[in-house]
Amino acid sequence: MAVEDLAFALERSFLASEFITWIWFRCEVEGGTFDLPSGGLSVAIEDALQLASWDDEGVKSSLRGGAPTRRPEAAHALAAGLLLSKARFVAARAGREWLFALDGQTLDLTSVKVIDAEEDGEEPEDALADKLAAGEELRLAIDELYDAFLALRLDADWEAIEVERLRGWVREKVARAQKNLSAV
Amino acid sequence: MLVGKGALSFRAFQVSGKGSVPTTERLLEKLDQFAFAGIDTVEEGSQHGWVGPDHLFDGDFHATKIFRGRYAVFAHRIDTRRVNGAVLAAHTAIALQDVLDAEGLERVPARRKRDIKQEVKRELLAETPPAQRAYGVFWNLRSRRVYLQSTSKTVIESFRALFERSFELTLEPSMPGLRAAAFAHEQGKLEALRDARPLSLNMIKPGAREPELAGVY
Repeated sequence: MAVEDLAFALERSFLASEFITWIWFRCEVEGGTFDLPSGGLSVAIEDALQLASWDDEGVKSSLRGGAPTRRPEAAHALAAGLLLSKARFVAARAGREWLFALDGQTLDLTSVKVIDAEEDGEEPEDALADKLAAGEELRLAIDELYDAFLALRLDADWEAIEVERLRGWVREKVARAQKNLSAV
Repeated sequence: MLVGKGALSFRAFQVSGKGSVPTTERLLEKLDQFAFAGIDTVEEGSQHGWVGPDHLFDGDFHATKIFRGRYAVFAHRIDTRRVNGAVLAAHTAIALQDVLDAEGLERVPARRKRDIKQEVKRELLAETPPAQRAYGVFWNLRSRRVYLQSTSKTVIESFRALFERSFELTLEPSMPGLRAAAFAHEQGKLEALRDARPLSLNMIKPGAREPELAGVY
C-alpha cells in the first residue's frame, strides 16, 4: 500500500468510534438485532463504557457497573460531544453467545469469551479449533456490521437522516436524564 | 497451550501475495527454517522466531500438531534482554566511586566514565535473564486470514516482519481506516469517504462558559 493511501486510511480512523457509538444507538432505538450476510446477530452493550472526544482537548469519561448506558453521565458525555471509544459488548446468534470488548480506535476484539448452548453433553471433536472458529466468526460478523455502517455513513443521506436520528437519540437521553435528576 | 489460551484478544490480517495458500510441506518447512533460535547473551536487544503451539520451548512443527481444523496454529516468540536503566545507573555510580576511592581522584574523565558504564552494562547483561514471551497465531488457510493473539503495536510489527520474511507473503492488518478505504473503493464511494468529517453530536451552546445544552435546559 502506498504511503499516501495509508495516510488517507489512518486519517479516517475516527469512523471506528462513530461505528461503536452507532451500534449503541441502534441497540437502544431498534433493539440491536442486525441482519448480516452471515446471518442475524443480536448485540447489546454490557458494561465498561469509555467515551472520548476527537478534538485537541482529548476529554475522556469512563463508566462501569450499574447499567452504564442508562446513566445520566453517559447521556451528558454524548451531548458534550464525546463518542464511545471502548465498551464491553454481548452478541448472540443461533445458540452461541460472545462476551467481548471492542476498541473504538482499532476495532480490535479483546477478551472474547464464547458461550455455546449445551448440546446433550456432546464433546466437541476439537475444542481448540472450535474456539478459534468462534472467535473468527465474531470477527467476520463485526466486519460485516462495520460494512453495513459504512454503507450508511458514505450515503448522501447520512447527515440528513442518520445524524438527525442520532442527535434525536442524544436529546432524548439527556431529557430523560434531566427528568430523573429533577425528580430527586 | 499458547494458542487459544483464555479469553481471546487478537488482531486480524489479510494474507496476500503469490502462493498465499502455502502447501502443508512449505508451511512446516518455513516454520522450521524461521524457528526461534535463542538470544545472544552479550548484546542488548530482542530476537524473534516461531515456536510450536504448546509452550515457549515447543520446537515441534509436526503436521498433526500444527493443523487443527481449518487452522494452522503456532506461536510467535520474542525474547528481549534489557538492563533496567535505574539499576545500570546505580551500579555505574558505585563503580565510579570505587575508582575515585582507589585512585584518590576528584573526578573521573568523561571517556573513562563511558568505558566504566559499558563494562558495568556488559556484566549486568550477562546476569540478566531475557524476558520470554510468545503469542498465539492461527491462520485460516482457506480464507487467507491470519490472527495474532496480541494487540500490542510492538508485537504486531515484529510479527508482520517475521511472517512476511518467512512466507514471502504480504499481511494487511484489518484496521478501520483501511477497511473503510477498501469498502469505499469497492462501492465507488471514495469521494464520499474523502469528504467525510468526524461526527459531532455536541449539543453545548456555542460560547457557553459552562456546559449548557442547546434545546434541553
